[in-house]
Amino acid sequence: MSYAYLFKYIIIGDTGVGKSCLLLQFTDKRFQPVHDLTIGVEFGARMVTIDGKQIKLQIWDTAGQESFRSITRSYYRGAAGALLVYDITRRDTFNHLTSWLEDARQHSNSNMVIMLIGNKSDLEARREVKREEGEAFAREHGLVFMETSAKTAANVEEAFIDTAKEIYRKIQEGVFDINNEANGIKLGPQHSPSSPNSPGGNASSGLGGSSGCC
Amino acid sequence: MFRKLGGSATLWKPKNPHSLEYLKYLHGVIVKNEKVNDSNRKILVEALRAMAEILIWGDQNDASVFDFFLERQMLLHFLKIMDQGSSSINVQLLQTLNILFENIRHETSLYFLLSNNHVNSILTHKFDLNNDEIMAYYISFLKTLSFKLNACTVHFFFNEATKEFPLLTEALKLFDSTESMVRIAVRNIVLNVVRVKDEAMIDFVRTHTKIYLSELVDSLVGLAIDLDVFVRSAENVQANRERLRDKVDDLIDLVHYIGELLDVDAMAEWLSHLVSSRFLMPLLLNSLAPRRDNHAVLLTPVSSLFFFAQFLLVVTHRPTIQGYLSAFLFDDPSILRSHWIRQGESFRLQNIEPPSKTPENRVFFESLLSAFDASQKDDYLSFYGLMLIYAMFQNNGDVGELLATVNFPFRSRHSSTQQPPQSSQDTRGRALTELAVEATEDSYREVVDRLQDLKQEEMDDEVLVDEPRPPSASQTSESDGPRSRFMSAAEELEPSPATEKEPKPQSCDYRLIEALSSIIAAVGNEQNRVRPITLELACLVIRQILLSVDDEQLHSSLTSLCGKARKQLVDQLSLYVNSENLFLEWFEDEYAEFEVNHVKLDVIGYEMLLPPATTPMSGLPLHKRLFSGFEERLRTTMLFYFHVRKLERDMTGEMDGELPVRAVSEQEPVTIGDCINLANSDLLACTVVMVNPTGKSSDRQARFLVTDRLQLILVEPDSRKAGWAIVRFAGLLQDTQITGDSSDSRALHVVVEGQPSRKRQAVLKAKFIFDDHIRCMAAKQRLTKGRQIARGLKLHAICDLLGVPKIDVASPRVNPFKISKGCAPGSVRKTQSTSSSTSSYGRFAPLRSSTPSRDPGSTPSAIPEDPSPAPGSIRHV
Repeated sequence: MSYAYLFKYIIIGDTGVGKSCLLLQFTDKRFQPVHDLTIGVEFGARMVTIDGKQIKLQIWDTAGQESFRSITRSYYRGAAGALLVYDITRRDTFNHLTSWLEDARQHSNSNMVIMLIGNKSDLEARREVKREEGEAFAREHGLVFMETSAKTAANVEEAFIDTAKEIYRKIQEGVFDINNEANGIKLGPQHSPSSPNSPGGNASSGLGGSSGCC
Repeated sequence: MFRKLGGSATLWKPKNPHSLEYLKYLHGVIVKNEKVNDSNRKILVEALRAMAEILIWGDQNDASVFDFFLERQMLLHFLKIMDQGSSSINVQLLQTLNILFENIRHETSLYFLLSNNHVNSILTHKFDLNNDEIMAYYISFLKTLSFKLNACTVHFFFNEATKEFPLLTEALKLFDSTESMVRIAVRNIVLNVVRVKDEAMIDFVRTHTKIYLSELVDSLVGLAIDLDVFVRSAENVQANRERLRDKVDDLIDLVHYIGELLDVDAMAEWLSHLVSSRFLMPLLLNSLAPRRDNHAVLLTPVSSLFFFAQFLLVVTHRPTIQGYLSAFLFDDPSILRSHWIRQGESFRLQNIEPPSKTPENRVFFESLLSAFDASQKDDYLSFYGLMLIYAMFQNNGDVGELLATVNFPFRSRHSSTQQPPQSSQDTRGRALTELAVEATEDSYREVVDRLQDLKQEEMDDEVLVDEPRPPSASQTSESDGPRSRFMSAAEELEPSPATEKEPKPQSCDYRLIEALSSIIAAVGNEQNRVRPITLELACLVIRQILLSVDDEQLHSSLTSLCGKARKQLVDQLSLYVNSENLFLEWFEDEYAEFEVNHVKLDVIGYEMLLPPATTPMSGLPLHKRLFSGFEERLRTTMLFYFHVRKLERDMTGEMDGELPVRAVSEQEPVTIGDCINLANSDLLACTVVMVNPTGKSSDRQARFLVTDRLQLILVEPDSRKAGWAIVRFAGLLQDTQITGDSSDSRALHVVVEGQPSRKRQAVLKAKFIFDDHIRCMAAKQRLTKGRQIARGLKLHAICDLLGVPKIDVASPRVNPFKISKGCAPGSVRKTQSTSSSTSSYGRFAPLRSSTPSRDPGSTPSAIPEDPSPAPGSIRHV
């Protein structure tokens, strides 16, 4: 399927916060969340529509590579968006957010959109981190915040799509250099590398305009 | 039993998707649809997807599910479907496999899946990797499998008899994929593979990664040359620094990766040889020697020092570091046996003849010292010279002995004893003979030999260490004195103060000290071309040296050098303290910047690599570039002053009570939320209309304006306590600016700036509307005078600090506005609310309208009384 843009995301956060489940939940709706079955994946892709444009999201989980500095460094840099996930039923996962964020900020490109996700919102009874605390952390660090549940699928859609909207907005503002693939954004096949960002301003219409002037 | 229910039975779809029956049903679907065509493609995709789900359920709940899966050789079915090359089905197959291998918890399930070699057949299947979806799932599958590798599972993947290891060999084929995530995954897979402890596999890996590693090192060479070309030609502007950052990051990522591979025994030997003979010697070291061949590709000294420093900061592999560092410190150009030449688009390593005439001794080391040459037109090279020295001290490759032999001080680290001895000596000989004989090999041997020689020399005699070492007792006795404060100050700058043993007393090469001193001496000179960050880095390095070198003479000569530079800087500043209107702001701003900005080695790499910028247009903050214009010159001088002063104080151990500058005041400043007693204060009632960032006026608030000697305060009467009020805003009078309003004679526009920094921001922007023109004038007068006095007090403090004569701006007099700080409202609420529950407003009002409660002497008669406000105007919000 063709797309206008491809955005690469990474998911970061402590082990066991449900990153890979969120990923599967978003990228593949065919896997219905079932109470006694936890399934996750480390990679997934999905097409979304933003502002009438087809945008492909590619999401890479970073699980297991924390021990290699060379790998984490590069992963952060190759992404346009990051979902920073903690588990609302485990305070320690919330406490580690600062160091995750530091790492992300240090190695990513400065335009990377980071969304803070408090996962497992279905487990209200075992909640250890208040919603307000998540909000305050997000406010303090300039992140977008959302509580999700990979089990009930609550807000999962929004978390990924809102991040994409934010990236798309930054592209429209010209903040991202979309010709630099190191930013985690790729132009779709129908965009030739020489044509400007907006599909309306492609080479042929540009030529037509100038000839009309003369 | 299974056979009876097998695929030939008619397909009946069980209701429960998580059951053995359901898997049997899915098996039937797959068997029935062996031939993929347009009509059954969707059915197959769904069957394969559902299979992932049921298998994970089985792993967690019902062992018979896996039994069935294996008995029916489902993976073989997968392979048959795969061969028919439908991309949508293959994507699904790969996803199913990913889910299987990622979510399986039982080891036995994993072993079952891996047996029969089907997984290896899947790995070597010719997928259409031009389809980026298939590529992504495929590489994820490889990566997932690599995480399952260990000494127990390795034989499922590596066939010793047939010498096949598809997981590794297939991954290596993708190492230069255009897709960054794929390249990263390949590195991840390689790192996972090489850590597995299995001798036969390691042997295989060693032979089959030779070309890969060689290409890896050559790509490092390519990146370095490319980066150098960019550095030579690009202007120092924001966009170029961004591009540079990408290149630098790519290079440093690769250095990290190489560093991590060097830590693996299986890789270390060959990779170390490659890195030395292809990158470090012919490129970095060669670039520091005088050019011998016109065709050789050489880097600018700046790039060479930078790459060297980065290499030391990242790589810890002892033989590599020691070999290179010893060549750098002791050798002459005759050690260089090859160089890179350009060949079309690429580069080729070429052998070179040894130099005909006797080369200069220690030419590489001399080139480092010459980086500090005072005749340099700027500090471009000396900055990276400093960075290299800093990196040498920081390196974890156990280089202490080596540095000691050149009289470079070092910080001994406890790791030095834990480092395993060089075990690979005999295996190295064997490995080398196996190699295709290359000329470069000789240079490698030489490095190794030299390293051995060096160690021998150290053991034989200690002629290289020219200072007699004083007994360590002197060190311990000293550290209790003023030095201990210095130690702690330096420790703050250390990212990770390792708990270390008492270092051996060391000495320091006097030329190194001279080089560092030259930077401090230079900043005292008005004509200097030093950037503040260079001075900061020099101070950092000096602190490190002094931590390990205990030399009274060195200590005192550095102290007096700092003192001299500081005096020169004060002379330059003193001309403007009392004449430049904004001196106070600049001084406070720069001190604030000095406090928050510290050298960050991971960003200065790319920020400083382009030639020094001279204008704000470069987008660099002032301390990272040369000044432009009077204001920046003065600000830069201030920064120099702060750095030199701090270093001097660190050495003398003096406490710092003078900075940040504080005006003498008998009161603590009030802050928002404080409850203060206004019994003897002058209040001016006003309506405050905030101006929000969009420039629009927003809500109106009734407040009372109070000032003390330093602060502008807006209060709201405390409803629970007569004569007390709660602070709603407090800002410094010195940073307050007021202007009248041409259309409203009762109004003043007030702007109060917040924390000092180079980009000050207003913390209050508002229109104050008073009851009439006279009160408005009174407020204006009070604020103007207050500002003058407050600034005068601060400037006096700066004069005291700098030792400059003061000029009386306005004689400080007794503070007319008495404000006593009280307890927080909450603590008095209980008692107050009982007595004044009905009319707190009524109790507060007389205080403002009647004179008797005030101190008549302190109230200038020019300021009229505040009238009783109209009811409602001070209603509590």
